[in-house]
Amino acid sequence: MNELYSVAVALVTAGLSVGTTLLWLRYLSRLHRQRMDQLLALRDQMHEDPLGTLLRDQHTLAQVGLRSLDWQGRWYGAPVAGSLGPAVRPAQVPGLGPGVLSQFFQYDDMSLTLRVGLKGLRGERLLFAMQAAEVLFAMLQGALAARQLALAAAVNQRARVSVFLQHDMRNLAQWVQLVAEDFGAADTDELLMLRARRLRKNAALAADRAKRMAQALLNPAWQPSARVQLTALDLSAQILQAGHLHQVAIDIEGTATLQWDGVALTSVLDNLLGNVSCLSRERLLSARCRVVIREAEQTIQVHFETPQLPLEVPLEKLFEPWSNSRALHKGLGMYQARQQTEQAGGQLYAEHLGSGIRVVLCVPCQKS
Amino acid sequence: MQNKLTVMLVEDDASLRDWWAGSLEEMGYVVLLAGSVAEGWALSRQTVSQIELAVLDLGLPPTPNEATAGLELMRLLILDRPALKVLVLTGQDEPAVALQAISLGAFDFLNKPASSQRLREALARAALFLRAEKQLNANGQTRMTLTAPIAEGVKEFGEAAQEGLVRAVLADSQFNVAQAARKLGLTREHLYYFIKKFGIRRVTP
Repeated sequence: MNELYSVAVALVTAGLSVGTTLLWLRYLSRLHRQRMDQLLALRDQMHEDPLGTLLRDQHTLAQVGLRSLDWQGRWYGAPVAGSLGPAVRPAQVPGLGPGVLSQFFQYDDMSLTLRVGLKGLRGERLLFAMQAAEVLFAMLQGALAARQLALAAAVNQRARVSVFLQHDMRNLAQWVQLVAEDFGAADTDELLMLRARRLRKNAALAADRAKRMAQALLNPAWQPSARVQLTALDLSAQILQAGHLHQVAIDIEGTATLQWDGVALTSVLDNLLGNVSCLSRERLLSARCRVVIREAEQTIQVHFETPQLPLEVPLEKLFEPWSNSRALHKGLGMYQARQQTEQAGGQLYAEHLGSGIRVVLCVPCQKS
Repeated sequence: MQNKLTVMLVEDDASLRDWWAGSLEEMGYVVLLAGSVAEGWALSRQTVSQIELAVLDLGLPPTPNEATAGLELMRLLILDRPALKVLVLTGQDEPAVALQAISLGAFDFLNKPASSQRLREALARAALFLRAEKQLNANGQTRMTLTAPIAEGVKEFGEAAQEGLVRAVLADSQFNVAQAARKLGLTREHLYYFIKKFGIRRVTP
């Protein structure tokens, strides 16, 4: 009887222990989840200011067990170092060796080593802190990669504006030099008046250029290619001329005169027929393109058909940058042509036709 | 200036083009203006009369920051009018661009900003060559500049020379095959053979 009683007490004790442990684990699990959510909530701030977030949100980091952190390296060309909490010192941690987790981040002009000290942590706290450290590393990696992408885009935008300005600045320098020379050499009143009249006639054009340059200099979001200037275009004449320039025989059906962006149309025709010409020559085929101009309700569709000419890239990659070349300034033609078309309110897409393709240009404008 | 020479000016910057045009007219040239490859090519096709000189900006739309469009126009113009003297005026400093322009047959290469005096001298030199070449032509001779790969040998070089000669004489005779054949000392059939061989097409205005 005594034995039975002892067994019952042991079972009840064991049950209580298991129950208490389960409750404790449940509590820990909730706490862990809550604190991990708090850590994850720092993600947006981290994208804005990665290192500043570490300094500002020490409390959140400490709650997930990350009390001891340090980092050093180069931050966009300048040395950087910082720390939080007790110094990170390697110490033997059971099951973890020296007790320090570290991660190295490397981008173009930025490199950073982040270390997390785990000294003094044991059991579930140690496991929790290790997991939090991995999450922190991943968040930092994402934030730094996003910053790098944004930086590259911004640099690219600046480069576009800068290249535009270089071109216009040279022309401006040339114009100033000519005007100065011509006026300097005007040794009679008659000649002086003649040149003054020329300058008056030229003034509006010069002012227009000055305005464009000022826009590019003063407005960081300005894009040279975003300007859409509508002009009356004889579509079939433009296509035939582009075909002639690229030595592509054009078999054209239909015609239209329309108001659209001449630069966008030139870009589409230049890239499209340039590619037809190059691919045909490479494959020893005669360079031909059938063009069909169709009028829909509010659009004019132009079909460029080359069923005889196999594509060198999959159709879905036709408009992807660098899909056929990784060389700088190469393999961007069709991508840019589509961008310019869309900026001007049009559409450019491709579909399979025979063993080649049909490229369709939709111009959303009425006939002029 | 004895007879007014015709200059084709291709420049995408409107104010600069306008000022250049005024300066060239003051210098005594007849000036034809274009602002893009398409306009330049159309102008060459539509102009029946002689265009003896061309001042060509290499950076033209749709890629004003590269020399590609200008070089392509130069290639076409020289093919269409072999006697044309092309003065390249450009903001592209790269030696490779100059090399490419010269290999395509540019007469001179001026970097922007270029002085008015420099352009005047270059045009005068081109006009001098033009007149001398006309004199040679009148004497039944021709002067040609050829760019051909040495490694491909004498035969290829000879073919390039043949093509250049046939194109030059045909252009000089306004594509009158009988007249060109007489000048070249060939039968018309033989000249047609060369026209077909080199893929020479008459550009109708």
